[in-house]
Parts: sequence; C-alpha cells; structure tokens
Amino acid sequence: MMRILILIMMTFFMVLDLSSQDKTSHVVDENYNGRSFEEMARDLSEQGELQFFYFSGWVRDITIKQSIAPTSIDEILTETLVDTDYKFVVNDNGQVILSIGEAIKSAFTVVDSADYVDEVVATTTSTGAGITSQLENLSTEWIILGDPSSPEQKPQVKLSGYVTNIDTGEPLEGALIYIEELKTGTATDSAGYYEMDMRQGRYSISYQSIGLKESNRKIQLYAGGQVDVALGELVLNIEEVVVRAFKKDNVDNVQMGVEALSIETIKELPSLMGEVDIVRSALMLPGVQSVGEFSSGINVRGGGADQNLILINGAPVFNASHLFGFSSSFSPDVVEGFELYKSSIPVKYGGRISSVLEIDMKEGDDERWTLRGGISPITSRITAEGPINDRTTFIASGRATYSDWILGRIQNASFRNSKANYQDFTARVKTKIAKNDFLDVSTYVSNDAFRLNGDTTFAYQNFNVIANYQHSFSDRLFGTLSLIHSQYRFNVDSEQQPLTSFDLFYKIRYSEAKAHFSYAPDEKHQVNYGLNIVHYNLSPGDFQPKLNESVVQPVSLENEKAIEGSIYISDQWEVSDKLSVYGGLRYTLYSFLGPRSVFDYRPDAPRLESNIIGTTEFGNGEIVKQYGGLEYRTSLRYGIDDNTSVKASFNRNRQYLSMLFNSATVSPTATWKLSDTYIKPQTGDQISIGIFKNLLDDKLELSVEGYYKKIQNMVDYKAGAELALNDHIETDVVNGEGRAYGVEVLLKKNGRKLNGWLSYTFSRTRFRSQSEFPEDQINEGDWFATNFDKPHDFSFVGYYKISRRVSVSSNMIYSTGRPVTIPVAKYLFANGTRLQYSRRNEFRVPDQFRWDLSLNLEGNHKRNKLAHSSWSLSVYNVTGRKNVYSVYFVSDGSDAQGYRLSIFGRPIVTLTYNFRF
Amino acid sequence: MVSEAHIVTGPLTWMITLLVVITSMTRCIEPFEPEIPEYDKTLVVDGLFTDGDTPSRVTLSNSFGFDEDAPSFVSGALVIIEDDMGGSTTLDEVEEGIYETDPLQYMGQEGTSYRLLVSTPAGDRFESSWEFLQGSPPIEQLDYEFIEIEQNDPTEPPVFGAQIRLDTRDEEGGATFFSWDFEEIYEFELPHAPRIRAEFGSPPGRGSDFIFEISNEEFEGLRCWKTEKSRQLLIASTENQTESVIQDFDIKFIDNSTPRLFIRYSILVNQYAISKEYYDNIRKIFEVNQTTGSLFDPIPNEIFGNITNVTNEGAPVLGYFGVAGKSQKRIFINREDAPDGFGATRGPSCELQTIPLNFISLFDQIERGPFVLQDYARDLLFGNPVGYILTMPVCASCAVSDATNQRPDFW
Repeated sequence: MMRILILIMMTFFMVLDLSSQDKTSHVVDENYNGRSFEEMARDLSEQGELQFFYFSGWVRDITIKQSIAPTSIDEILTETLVDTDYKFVVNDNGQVILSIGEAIKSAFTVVDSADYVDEVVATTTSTGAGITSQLENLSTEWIILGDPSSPEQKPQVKLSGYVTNIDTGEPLEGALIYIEELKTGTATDSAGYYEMDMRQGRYSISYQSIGLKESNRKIQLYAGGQVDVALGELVLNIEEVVVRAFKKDNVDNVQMGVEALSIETIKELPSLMGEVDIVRSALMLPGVQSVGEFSSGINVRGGGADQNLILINGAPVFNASHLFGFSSSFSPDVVEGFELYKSSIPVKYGGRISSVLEIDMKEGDDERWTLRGGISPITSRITAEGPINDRTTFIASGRATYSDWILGRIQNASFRNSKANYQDFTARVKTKIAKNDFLDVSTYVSNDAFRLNGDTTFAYQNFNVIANYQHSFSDRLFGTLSLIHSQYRFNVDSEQQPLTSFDLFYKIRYSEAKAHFSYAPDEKHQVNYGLNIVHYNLSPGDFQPKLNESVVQPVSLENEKAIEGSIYISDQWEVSDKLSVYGGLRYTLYSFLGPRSVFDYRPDAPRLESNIIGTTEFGNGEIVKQYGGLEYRTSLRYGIDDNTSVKASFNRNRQYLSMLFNSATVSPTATWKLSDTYIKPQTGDQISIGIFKNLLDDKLELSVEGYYKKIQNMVDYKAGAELALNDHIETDVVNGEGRAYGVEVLLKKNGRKLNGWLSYTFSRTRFRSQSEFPEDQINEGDWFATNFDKPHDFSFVGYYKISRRVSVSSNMIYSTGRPVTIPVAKYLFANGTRLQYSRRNEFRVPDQFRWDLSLNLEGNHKRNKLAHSSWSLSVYNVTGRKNVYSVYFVSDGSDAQGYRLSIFGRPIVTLTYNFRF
Repeated sequence: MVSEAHIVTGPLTWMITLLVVITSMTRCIEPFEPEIPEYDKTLVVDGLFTDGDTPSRVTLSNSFGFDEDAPSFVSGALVIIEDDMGGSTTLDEVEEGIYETDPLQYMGQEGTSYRLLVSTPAGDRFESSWEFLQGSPPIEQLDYEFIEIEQNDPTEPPVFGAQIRLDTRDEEGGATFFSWDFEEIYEFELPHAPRIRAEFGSPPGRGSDFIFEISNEEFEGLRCWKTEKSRQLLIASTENQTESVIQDFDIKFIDNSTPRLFIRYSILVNQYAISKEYYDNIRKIFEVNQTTGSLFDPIPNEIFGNITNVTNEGAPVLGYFGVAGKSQKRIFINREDAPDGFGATRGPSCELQTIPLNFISLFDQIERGPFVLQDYARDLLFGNPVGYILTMPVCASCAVSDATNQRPDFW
C-alpha cells in the first residue's frame, strides 16, 4: 500500500497546523533493530498509522537501530539517522518525511499527486488553516496543481488563494502576487483573496506585503487550484532584504493623506548627533512642520502640537520628547516604522483632531536570540530579542544618556553642579495561546531628569502598558480586545531659597478598554467596528512647601476626571475596479465628572477673575458637563486608469484633551487639560481632494493633495496668561476658531539603488478669537497667523546605495520663517525704556534652510561573524547656515537690543557605532 | 551680564537657562535689527501716587522709535487725581511732560481709592480705573553681602561685589504685592579738578591770551556725588505664601567696575505696596522685556494698562496709573566695609597730557580738541611753569558725569 512518493515529495502542501506544537508520538510496538529501513517503512505503513516519504535511493543502505520496544517512531529514527545526513520529521497525521541536510520544519501534510489539489484545499481549509509555506528553503520546491494525466485538461486555468499574516492569521489586504514569467500580477482584496486566469505552465510566483517577508512559490499548473500563503514577519538578515512598498498602493488605496516610513528609511536619514529620531523624521513629509529646530511637537496640516495622537503599539504617549525636544523618546531599535494619518483617519482612532502617528513596535525574533546596540555622542542603547519558547517571542530595548560627560563638556560655571539625563525602555512579549489566539503585551517607559545647581530638579516620566488579546473567529472575522493604561507626570522641586522651597507635581492617568473587530463579509467589503471607553484622571497641579522653613501656600488643584465612550463602524467597499469608498461613523460621548467646584461668571461680561460671582459644587461622580457627537470619516477613490486615481475625503474629529502652553512650542511644564464647563472640546473638520499617479512603471509616485480644515473651540492665550496652578484657566484663554488650508505635492522615487522624495507644501493656518469683549480677544478678533504658519515648505530626501556596504543619504529643507511678535517701538515706563510690541504674530523670522548628509558603512557581511557592526557618519547643517531659531529683545531699562539666536549655527559632525551579536 | 532684575516667575525660568546651557556648544547670538514699518506714536501715561510726604509724579510721553534715544513729552495737559471721597488735586507741570503733586496740599491716604484724569492739549481725555491705596509695611531689613559670582565663561575670573538685598514682612498680611525702586548716591574722586583756566584773545596767540588761577571758592573740588535712579522693574508677590514674607530679595549688585564703592555709597530703597492689577501689569511688562530667546518663553504681547481714552474709545494707551503705600529705607556702604583688595575703580580713568607753554597749541587742544586745561607743568627744582597739563573733561568736572560737587545734606 505504501507508495514511495519520490517526485511527489515535491508536491506536498505544507499545512501550518497551529496546534501541532505538542508532538504526538506514534508508538512502534515491534523491534525493527537490524532490519532495513524500507522493510520497517513498508511494515508500518501497512499497519495504517504511518506514512513514509523518501527517495528509495536514500535508504537502501540504512539499517534500523532500535534499542528498546515499544518505543516512538521519533526515537527509532533519531537513533537510526544520527550518523547520516538525513533528517526527518513526523507530523500529526503520522506522515514521516525524510530530507537531506536540513530538517523540514514540522507540521505539513503531504498530498500525493493523485489527489486533486482542490480537494486538499477543501480538507485543509476546513481545519481553519491556509496552505502555507514558511520555510524559505522549501519555497523553491515545485507545487503541482492538478494531475498531468487527467483527461480533462483545459489550457486556461484559474489560480486563486488567500494571503494571510502568519502570526495573526489576519488576511493581508493589498498583498502583491507577481508572476515572473508573465511580468504581471495582482493584489489581494480586503479579505486577502486573490485570483488570476492563467495558462497551464510553470510559474515562479512571489507574494509580497509591506513589512513582511516575501515568499516565493514555483507552481506547475495543470488545473486550476488554490494556493494560500502566509507571510511571516520580516526578519532582518544580514543578507539584503529588499522590502518593496506596494507599488500601486498610492494609487489603489482608498485612504488619502497617509504617510508611512519604515525604520530602515528613518535610519537612512542623516541624524543630529547620532540620534535616530522617529518623530523628527516625520518632519520631512509633506504637511508636517515644527516651530523650530530644537522643539518638541509637530504641526500637521496647520494643527496644534497637541492635536496629534501619538501611539506606540496602540497606547498613547503624552510627551514624546527627551531633553525638551532634543530627540523623540523612542528607541529606533524597537520600532518597525510609523504611519501618519493626516486626513483619512481610520474610524478606530479618536481623540485628536489633526493626525494620528501610530508607531509600530517590533516583535521579537522567533528564531534566534539577537543582541544589538549603538553608541552615539549622546546616548548608548541596547536591544535583546528572541524566542522564549516556540510560541512566545520577546524584545526589550533600553537607551540612556551619559549626561555627566555632556555637561562636563559645557563650559559654563553656573551649571557645574547640574545634571541632565534621560532613559527609555520598551519591551514586548507576544505569545500564541492557542491556534487562533494571541496575547500581546508591551510596555514603554521614558524618563527625563534635570538637576540644576544642585538645588532644583525637574523630572518627567511617561509610562504605559498595553495588553492585546487577538482572536480569529474565522477566516473573515478577527477581534482584538485591548486594555491600555498610560500615564505622564512631571515634578519640579526647588530648594534655591528655603523660604520659598517647593515641590510641584502634575500627573495624567489614562485608562482604556477597547474591543475592535474586523470583518470581511465578502471580497468587496471590509468592515471594522468596535467600541471603547476611556477614563481620564488628571492631577493638574499639587504645589507643596518643601523644607520646614518654607512659607509657600500649599495649592492642590482639584483632580479632573472624565469618561469618554465611543462606538464606531466603517466599511471599505470596492464598488468596482475603479470605484471604492470608505465610510465610517464614530460616536463619542464625553462626561466631565465631579467632584468639582465650577466658578460662575457674570453673564454678558468678559471672562475675568473679577467677574466671578459664585461657585457651583458638583458631587463625586456627578456629571459636570457633557459633550458628544458623531464624527464622520469618509473617503472615496476613483481610478482613472491603472496608474492614476483621484480621491476625496471628509473627516470630522473631536478632541476632549488639550494641552496648555502659551509659548511658541510645547514647554516642559505644559499640562494636559480636559474639556470642562468653559473649555469646550475642539472639533476639526477637514475636506481634502487629491490626485495620485504612478509613472515610469511605478518607479515614480506623484501625488497632489489639497485640504481645507476648520477647527472650532480652539483656544489661544491672553497676554501674560498664568497657566500653572490656575483653577480658572478660562479667564486666561480666549476662545476662537482656526482654519487651515494647503496643497501638498509629493514626488517619490522607489528604486533599488536610489530612493527618496521631493515634497513641497503650501499651507496657511490662522486663528480668530470670537468674543464681543475686547478682553477676550486677540488682535481685536481679526484673523491672524498661528505660531506655526509657515506658508512654503520644501523638503528633499534622497539615499543612494553605492554598494551593499556603503550608502549615502542627504536631506534638504527650506521653509518660510515662522511668525513672531516683536517690538515696534519703545516707551518710557517706571523710569526705564520698555518695549512696545506689535499685534500678535505680525512679523516673521527669516526663512530657514538646512542641508544634512550622512554616510553609512556596514561591516562585512560574513554570516557567522560574532558581531556585525556598522558606522554612520553624519553632518547636520552642512552649509553651517545660521538658521534663526528665535529673535528676542531685551531692555534692561536703559537700552533695548534685539538678538537673533541660532542653535546649530555650524555643521555638526557625528560618528555613530552600531553593533549586533 | 548679570541681570539685576529678578522675579521669581516659577520653575520655567531656570529651565530655559538649562536649555540654553545644553545648546551652548553650538548656539550663536547676533544682534538683530528688524525692519519695522512706520508705526503710530502711542501716548504713555506713567503715574504712581503714594501716601508718603514726597511728591507723586505722572509722566506723559509718547512712544518712540528704535532709532530714537528719547521720547517726546506731552506738555500743557491738565492732570487731576481724584479720590472716592470727593477730593481731588491738580498736578503741576514741573518739567516738560512731568506733573507732580504737592504733598503739603494733597497726600494719599491708606484705604482710599484714587483715579487719574488727563486732558491733553490735543483735546483727548483719558481716565484710569479706580485704584485702592494699600498701606505698605516698613522695609524690615536692607543689607548687603560681598559675594563672588562665577562667570559663564570659566576662563574669566569670578565677579566680586556687594549684593544688596531686602527683607520685608507684613504681619497684618494686607500687603501682598510689592514693587521697589531705588536711588543710589555715591561719592567718587575727581582726580584733576582744574587749578587754572585760560582766556583766549581773538585770534589766539597775539598777546591777548591770559591764564587765571582758580580761586578756592570756584575750585570744583576733589569729590563728586552722583545720583542714579533705578531703571529695572523690581516686583515680588507673596500671593502663594501662607505669610507675607519676602527674604533676600536682590535689589542691586555692585561690582568693582564702577566707583560706587571707592569712597562711600548710599542707596535709598522705596517700597510700594501695590494692587494685584498693577503687579500683574508690571509682571507682564517685565516678561516681555526680559525674553531669553527660548521657544518656551511666553509669546510676547502688546501690554496695555488701566488707562483708557474716553474721547476716542478703543485707542490704545500705554502705561499705568498705580496707587501705593510707600515706605523707605536707606543704607550706606563705606570704603572700609569692602574687603581688602576689593579695588573699586577710583573714578573716571584719566590721561594727562603735557604741552609746551604755547597759547596756540593750547587753544588747539582745548577749544578744538577734546581736552581741558588743568594746571601748569612745573620744573621739579624751582616749580616754575614749563608747560600746560591737559586732562579729559570727565576728570575735571563732576557735571560731565551727571554728578554734582555738592555734598548732600545727609552725607
């Protein structure tokens, strides 16, 4: 009965059987010691429990060695084959597969050629798993679909299948299936399904999806059939792995205003002092700006720095910068890349009106342990990753400054006793609980601490932890349940003067529970829905005397608490080849909760402290104020031809948590504030249209997007606003509206050697206060440019691979100077000369230009070296242009003088060393 | 430069300094002169009315451009202070644009509210809001300490000098917001007061030139007394404290680069108990005049006070009419109070030049050149004049340094 399926060995389908991790041993009762391999194989096959697959030539001279009986087949074969080149594997179905050299990784079902593939697929898909190939060394084997001897052959056949993510089991949308011989291909739909009409023949087919390892199949088509492929995480090998973005994604995707950068690209960009900066790299993208070179926070399409939702692995981060904006607080070694949503914000995100910056954390390597690190003038970092067991992976990364060394270099006497240091730490564990269930837990901590003159300290800390439980209900329905806790706090203490020594604390705690589902009812629809609930708890300020002598008045502002609940649903519908639409609705209900004392103001009077006429008390848990409403997220794509499409989108977002700062950029002591009775939630409406075109066989991507944005309930600050320890913030802000519009042009080159992009953005952003009282107005209620209104912004990024070991990259930026308020005259007051300032933001600093270069040198590519190393030499601001960071004016009473400050007024050269074990 | 003004504005101030330090390796500061288009002159009303027996002053001026040195003043205005009890007084213009009360006729009273009414010759009427007069506690202590201040550049030696500090305390707790100003007087050496003077004929050198000895009555003397008024804004608040106590508030730092501590120095500090509104106004003005260039600085703004234009509503008016209880304290620092080797500057640095006894060259030097005649140069043996000693005006006259040769009464 046993058939030795030599050639058919190549026809097996490998079924990834997720439950096969526990080996079931097949017990052999008889002792075959001394008998031939073939004899045993025939014998056992006839008993019906086991099937053997091998070349008959291999085993001719092999004699079974079996010391005991009964024993498992594994034991027997281990003993027998120990001194040979042959490896074996026994799968759950009792199939024993021999191979030479490398063992075939567990768990495949071997199907002989007589069985039609369609049937096999039927049986295997019924177990819930696709037909997959995970091993690269097997991808070169031939898959034979159909029986060559079958009488019913048609020259035209159909190849179809599903492409899924090997780890999550989720279908991969937009995965590319490319047939080398035909120089053509197709992409999967939202259910991960693809199909192609082809002629009989032999084909090499590659399966690709962004961020995942490309997989290749050689297929001999005699009849139509189904080939399912699961793509695994991209494991960065020393060998060159070319990750090609979806070639046509730009044109085909219904979303617009989405930018993605992989960590590989980010690392190619020239760095400042060797710090690979995740958030700053986003500044090179169209529509993303910042106020100054050395400033935290980004401004997306004319939105404020607090209007961006920054997520790491799904958990929000409230202060994403180290050292007051010097670098972003994410270690590059643990980041996969990011997506930035500027206009089509998917319905599952909410809470910020400008953008979502989703930073993807790496998963640990599931094959081997790696240790890597890097040393730059500012920090050193180290990352370890690997499999804990065959179902659990782990990655952890830490980074720290050597602050004393840096401060020692600073020739400044008053700071000899000063210290500045920061660290961050990230870890992620992902485990497969069962066949369709994953648990994914990650945490992120960042710490900054400064000590000045030994008597004053300032420290801030981010901490978050997120647990995701993923379950595939079926091929078409996936769910994720997430629990998120995120907090941010800072504290200042000073002993400069015992009498006024103090401690100041601020803290925000954010807790979220979320259920998200993704459902593909058919090939044309992709439905996402879910709900979440967020609890906010803020301690806006606790100010306490520090030393015994201190006479400072303790101030403890009431905690701010709120609950925000949301439900959402969206459908992405491919109406036809040309037309696709995305429609989403999100409903949020926000309740600001007591206990709370709310000041009452005299009606029909400006919002001034002197107009407080009473206080309304709210009890614990009582709803002080409620806001809510629908948010629309829609977009539409129409394909004009294969290489061209037009898109339009309309988006509404609400934001219940805003940041208070009346400086040009987010200051370290800026605090987050919940919407309350007087500070209303911001609402942003954005409409955008764009045209997307791929040129030169997809080597060039061109896009032009225009947007118009309207923001309601934006706040700005009155002159001399006090934001710290203020329990009536509403008297220090003015309410108003914002509007922004712009055009973004992006030309992107994707190549093997030369990559990069050119972008130009024209944008305006303005604010207008809305009040009938002059006290509650800025610039008499006229429209004026916001602090981050930079109309022209040009950036160029290019990197060129000279060889496998050497690459160069360069970037260049030009932008209009930001608006500033400067003195227009002087006047005499209190016996001194004082400065009379202009209306808000009537002037601009000079235009900015910067050119950076870097050279990356990889160590040699010998595979088995103990450590792989690389060097990176970067030059920041090659031309040494003194870009104006700020202009400022000082009058000591006798004379007034204006100054312009440049922070990096000369080229900064840095050498960074990276290693990996 | 050591900033003499100091306000505890919270944790942000030093944080900015830290940021500046971190970037000090690469940063670069250059003077900046923006191009400013024409602007409209704005009226500035700067008044402070107090309860002391010294006159209170209201100054009316216009704002002025960056390229100008001094403002133009508004003369001939009618300036009235009225109280909420029905009383009022009209101020006299004592100098151009400067109007003063007569304390013999009208003095501020604690617990009363006042406001300012101004009518300019141009026909505009202005008024201030009502301001309440809060009595000031006495200055508890005014003291000094010689300290060393390290320079930012460690290659430079530290600066050594006297730090004048103030303590104040209001037991009743009525006064919470304070401002200070001060008047310094110091004595310094006038090294080369002239002993002789020249009178030239026209043209000189034709025999009608004379040298006169200067009599003891006319002699300028060997000492000058210079008065300087503070220009900085000095404020503090005890609003966030359980007690109204201020300790070690830095008033003034005196290093040895001025002659202040060469002979004798005195400082009279005026303390004002001011309203919260006035305090906030000065604080805002202070903030926008002491920006650091950090992007964490609050965005500067135009700042207006409590004066409104009644005739032309909405027209901007700068300045403030403040009302305050006032107290004063004076201290002296003598040369011997300074540690040995303090080495304060004597006075003006002087160069002497000797020229031969020739009227024409003397005329050239003192009438056309920068010098003044001080004395004869004499031969060592007989003391006969052999030439003229010339010196710089600043070494010969107190007035050149805006000082006086008259010893103050209290000296």
